[in-house]
Amino acid sequence: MSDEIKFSSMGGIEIPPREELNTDLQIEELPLPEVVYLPVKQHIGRPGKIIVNKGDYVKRGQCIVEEQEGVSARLHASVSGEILDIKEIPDGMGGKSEAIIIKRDQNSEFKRIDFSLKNKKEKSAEEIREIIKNSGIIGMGGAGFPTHIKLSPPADKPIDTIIINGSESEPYIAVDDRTMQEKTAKIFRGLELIKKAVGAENGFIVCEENKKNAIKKLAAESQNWPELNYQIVDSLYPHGAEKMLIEACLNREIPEGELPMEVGVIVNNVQTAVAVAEAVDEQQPVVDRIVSVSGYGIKNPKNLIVPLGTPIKELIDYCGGLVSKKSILIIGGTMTGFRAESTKIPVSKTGFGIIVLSEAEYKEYESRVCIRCAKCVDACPVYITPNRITDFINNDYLEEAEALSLASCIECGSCAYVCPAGRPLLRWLREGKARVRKRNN
Amino acid sequence: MNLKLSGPHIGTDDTIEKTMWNVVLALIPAAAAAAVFFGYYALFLIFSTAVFSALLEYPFTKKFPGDGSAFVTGMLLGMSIPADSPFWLPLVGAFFSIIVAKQLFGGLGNNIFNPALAGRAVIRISFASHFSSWPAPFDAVAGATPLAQRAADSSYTYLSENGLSGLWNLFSGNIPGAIGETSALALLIGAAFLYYKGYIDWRIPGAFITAVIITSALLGVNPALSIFSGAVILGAFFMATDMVTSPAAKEGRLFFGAGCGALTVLIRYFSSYSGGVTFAILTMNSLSYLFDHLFEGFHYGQYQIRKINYKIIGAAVIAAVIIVLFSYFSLLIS
Ligand code: SF4
Ligand code: SF4
Repeated sequence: MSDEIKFSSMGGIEIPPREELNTDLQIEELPLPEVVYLPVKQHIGRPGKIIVNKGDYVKRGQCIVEEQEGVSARLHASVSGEILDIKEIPDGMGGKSEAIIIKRDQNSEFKRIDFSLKNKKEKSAEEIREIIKNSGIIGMGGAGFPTHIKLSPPADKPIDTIIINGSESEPYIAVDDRTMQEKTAKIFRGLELIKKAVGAENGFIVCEENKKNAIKKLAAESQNWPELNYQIVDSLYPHGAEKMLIEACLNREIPEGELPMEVGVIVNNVQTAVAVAEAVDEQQPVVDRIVSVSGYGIKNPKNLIVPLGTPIKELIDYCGGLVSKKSILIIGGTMTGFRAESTKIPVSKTGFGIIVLSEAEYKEYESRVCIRCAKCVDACPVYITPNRITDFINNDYLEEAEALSLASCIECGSCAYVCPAGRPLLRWLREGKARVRKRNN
Repeated sequence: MNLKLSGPHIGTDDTIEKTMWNVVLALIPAAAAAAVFFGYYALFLIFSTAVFSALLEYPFTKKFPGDGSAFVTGMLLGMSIPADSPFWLPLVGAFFSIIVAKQLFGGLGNNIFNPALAGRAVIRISFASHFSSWPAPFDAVAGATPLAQRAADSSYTYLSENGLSGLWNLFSGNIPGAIGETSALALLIGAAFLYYKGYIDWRIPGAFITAVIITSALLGVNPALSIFSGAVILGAFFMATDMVTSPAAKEGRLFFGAGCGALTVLIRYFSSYSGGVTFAILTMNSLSYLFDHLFEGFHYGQYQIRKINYKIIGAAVIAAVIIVLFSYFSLLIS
């Protein structure tokens, strides 16, 4: 394509990206953990079926949870070893979920960093989709939607464009940035495969304009892929979200309540693209993921590649530990993620970051009275009015909140970020959505 | 899910206090201009009202000087009276502003009417004699404001008599008028600061001024005079933009500003009060929640509804313009 920057006209806010922390750090291997905790359900949809038992010996890459009918995904063992137990553990969002606990066999060593592209194999579209399903690939940018379902749109919804999203807009995180710099070829290969699986004509990788090094790598690598392209977009938050990307790059608007495929587009994260390339070319299911450990509350920020299920404690220890006891631990991004109550929570397929905030960085909510300053309205990228919706939610007028397009909220948190009254708007919006779900069930 | 653990975990360092004290900062140029044009007594009036307002809030908030909102109210009130007012006049207004218009409605965030304007309206009506003659800058002879002159003899000669220097005087504030209203230049400097800091949005002032220009032109009043004489600049950038009492929805803000502007000119033209801006904004304040509801605008993904609605609105606007022009010309002819 070109080095022209495309801008989204939708609302957005400037968040300092904290580039100085993680952007220039190479991805490193974390020493292997002794025990991994693999939550059975790491995706959106129905949980899979556990096909192993306590005491079984499993090998790295062996399927331990099989997908069910409908929207569901597989899970594979991330280390070789014996299954210690299958029980409930904290899920990182304040709830509990079932997990398979594996004790690593000391003799099993394996190599995780292999960024070169090798033995490209030609496969048909069906074969590619089958491999993706068998490899347990889900949206690894955080959404967690099973990729094989995403890549099988109904016949009446032709897809013309595949977008590979490398514009993680969360501050602190450098996972996509580093992947674009270090696994550039694999991303292009993944895009090629996804394009083929869906039968789309166009495909491009999107990168934010402030990731200069990644753009250079993409520009150089794109010479080898005449059919594929890259596109630079502005770096306001949350313009890395798929609705904003589609608007900026293609000027298409998804009708309310529909998916991107309604306008002929499928968006995948760069991690997903890499996973597809590795699954097809190297028969490697999703067993590792790249995590940014960042923030001013951690001694040595790092970008790590870790086996799934590693407790975050091991990552934190490897990064030198917390600066102070009062540091605040967050799983996922600082905008959309959850505060961790315990360091036993494992890394999941969608867990792109562990952020340790110093006390000074952390925003305490005060819930003061709304002064109707409209900052949240101006910040909202989907043009809804967070101040009014949350008023309705807090007073239990769910219908009114829904009429104001509560469902369109992408839970980006921009509204709460800018609110001068310290109102926890995103919490309330999530609360409203949860209540709507409960009522509908 | 435990939502107590949900993010965002970072935020801007913006607070209500910061917002309000920035508005105070933005009013400083106008206060300085007032000191230059009207002497230090004007400055005393502005700040005594501000401090008194903040004190009045103490029983309710147990804080002094509090979040700054009362201070802003007091400053605005002090700026909207004649420079030769007795010192107690704005204090009476402040009492009404803070106690009745603000705290009795539930305090900051819950008041329906702009407190400063509510207070001003009360003293404007109760002590009308103090508002009949406005001291001119530099201790010149007290006189009617250019607006009131227009009302007195409809030949409306201020600009044609004074030419370009008249326009400059209007703009810089060298004309009779309320303490803080006269210097458009100083007010605009403050407004530019607020805009740069993101505390005001272009929609309300933009629509306000545009509506003033259009309505004035339709009524045959010189738009420049309408804008720079009287409280339009102060009203458009500092009063109508008051966060609590203006709509939050984007399109609502446009309609709100336009309503304020049109009403200002209409009130000035058809009534004997010089307080067009005050009553226009207070009237629109009462509609602000309604406008939030009616003109929320369209959400992402509603483009089909949006297209249809824009067609209807466009057709309505064109029809309205044709009707107005038609009646205007038929009046001219008759
Ligand atoms: S969290 Fe929802 S309401 Fe708030 S800014 Fe994002 S999309 Fe808008
Ligand atoms: S940003 Fe906060 S104070 Fe301002 S309108 Fe929204 S909720 Fe109210």
